[in-house]
Amino acid sequence: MRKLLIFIFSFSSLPMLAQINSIKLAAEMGQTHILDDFTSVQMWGYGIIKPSGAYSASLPGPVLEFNLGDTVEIHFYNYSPEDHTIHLHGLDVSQAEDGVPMTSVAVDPNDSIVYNFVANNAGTFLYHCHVLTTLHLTMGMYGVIVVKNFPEQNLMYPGGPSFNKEHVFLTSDMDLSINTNPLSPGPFNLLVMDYFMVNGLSGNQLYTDGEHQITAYPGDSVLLRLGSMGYSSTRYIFPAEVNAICYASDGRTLPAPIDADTLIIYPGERYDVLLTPTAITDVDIQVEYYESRNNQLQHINYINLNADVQIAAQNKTELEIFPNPSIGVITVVSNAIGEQLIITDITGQIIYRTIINSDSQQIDFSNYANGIYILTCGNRSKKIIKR
Amino acid sequence: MKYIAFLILVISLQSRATVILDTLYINSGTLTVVDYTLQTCVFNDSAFFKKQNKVFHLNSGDQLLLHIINNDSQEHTFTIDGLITSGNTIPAGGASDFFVNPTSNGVYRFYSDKPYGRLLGASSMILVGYETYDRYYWNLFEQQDTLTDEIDLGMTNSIPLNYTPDIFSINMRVAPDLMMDTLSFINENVGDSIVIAVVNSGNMDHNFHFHGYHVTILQANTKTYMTNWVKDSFPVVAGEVMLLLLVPDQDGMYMMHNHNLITITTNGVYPGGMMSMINIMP
Repeated sequence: MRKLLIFIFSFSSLPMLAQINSIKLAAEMGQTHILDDFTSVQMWGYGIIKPSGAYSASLPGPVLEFNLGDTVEIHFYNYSPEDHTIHLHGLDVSQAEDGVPMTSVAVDPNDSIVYNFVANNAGTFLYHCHVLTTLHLTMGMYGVIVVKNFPEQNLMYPGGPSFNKEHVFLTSDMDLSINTNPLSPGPFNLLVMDYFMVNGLSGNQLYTDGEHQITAYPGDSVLLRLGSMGYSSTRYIFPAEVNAICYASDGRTLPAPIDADTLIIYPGERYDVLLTPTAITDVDIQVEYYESRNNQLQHINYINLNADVQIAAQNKTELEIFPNPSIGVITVVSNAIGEQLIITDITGQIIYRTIINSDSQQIDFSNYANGIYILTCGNRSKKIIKR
Repeated sequence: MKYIAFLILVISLQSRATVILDTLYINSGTLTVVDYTLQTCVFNDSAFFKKQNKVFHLNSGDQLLLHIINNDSQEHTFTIDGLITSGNTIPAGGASDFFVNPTSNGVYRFYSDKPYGRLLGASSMILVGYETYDRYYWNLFEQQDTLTDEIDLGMTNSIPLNYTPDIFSINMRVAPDLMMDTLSFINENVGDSIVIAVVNSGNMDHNFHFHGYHVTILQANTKTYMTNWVKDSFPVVAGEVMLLLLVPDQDGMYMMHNHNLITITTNGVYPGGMMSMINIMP
């Protein structure tokens, strides 16, 4: 009987339904990223390999989500002409899984490796390449890992506060001279950042994208997972009406929650902040970037938080484009009937303009040169790739 | 000196504290890192210039009586924030005695508060207590070659807005040479209790990242709200004094480095600068 009880207790103490969580991730070089002034810049990055075998690297890389207790397998394929790794930043993995060429292994071009670890702590983590880190990070080889509490996924961590909405914001920056000439980079101590991003976007991109605005109403609890993978330090300034409280950092619970009206995040740090707006509001969260050598303010981005039910609903523009990439005709699905639809090339030149007259309309792209275009309608923009 | 020694004797008899007697020398010299020759000023344990500042460890309750000889041609101070902040000037070529009576266990930064000394590296630390722990010391500093010359020549006594350091060091050593530094290179076993005393003697903020482990911040004099936080990445702002606790739960060789990637270079070349290893045996 005693043995049976021990057996039952052992089983019940395991995280319920924790499982093997396996993903495939590719490294790519020579991809293109569009900056807020429509500058098209070369980047290197990571992309999820879909069941079809397709992948596309992005800046930052995709958010990788696992559950607390998961045994994680990241099958990493290096589809590029240089060595790369994945450093699992903050997950305290073993030496062999650490992604540092000097102490573990670099993945050769067209080779692969499997990184294994158990997600022992709920929270926010990072991943990035640790080969010639100064260059590979600037080129865009980084992303966020989220370990969700499990099985209560609405809690920040076991026994922690609950939330009903969640956003991941990763700040980073870019010295354009590196990305335009990565074959002879440096000297790295003289880097001067030109672009300052949240999830790879900045300036108006954060307003027009739609996906990076926070819609929250009184009664909502919005979890922000904030991380920094830049050279600059980042200072978030939260309006008082959103009641920003920080509960955790670097995947560990704080000894006591702290008011987070102002929160400075240094490169490599992560903070989990809960917003609980108590009134209908329409405010901006200010994201400031400070030069690392002299602490001078370099740039400010804004993340909009809109808690007005009517305004949020009215302002929300739906925008879907398919197929994308496209070789010819694209279909645009949007609710912005009566508004302008504008397509610009990467220099910002308008090449097509029309009025949206139905919730689904087609545009013939076959006569345009191959490349990247931006389609804007209402308050949303999307990138189109013509092949 | 006789009066101070008598006073110390009385205090030590009353408190039964041990008074440690020691001598420090303020020396100036040049630090050579790759192609750079950097003007440097340090606290040494002898009259001969050595690139590393001396560090002290005192047992809990101990006191320190320091005789400081200023071998430099510039005036200096011996300053410990909160303990020794006035009447602490040491004239060029002169000497003074200082009685250090720590109020609690932890890390104390001592430094010259004259621009010449502060900007050229005369800054180190005293760790008090933690006798049963394995103890390590990280003194963070960065230097800009041309600026150290200008400071040495008296052409400037401040850090300019366009500050662009070339050399980023821990205990005045840069990677890979830094991995030979027994003060900072952690070489211990799983389950050991390790404390790391950290001082940022430089003029810019730094931020460190541990691979393989989280550490507990036992003390942070500037970012005091971080006390007892468990972190793998954390800022060490200019002038910061910190004490970290590491209890390794796995063996292996792991990196420890500044995550401001500018600083893991030497002369702009990666790898270099503030990057070292932690070796934990089973």
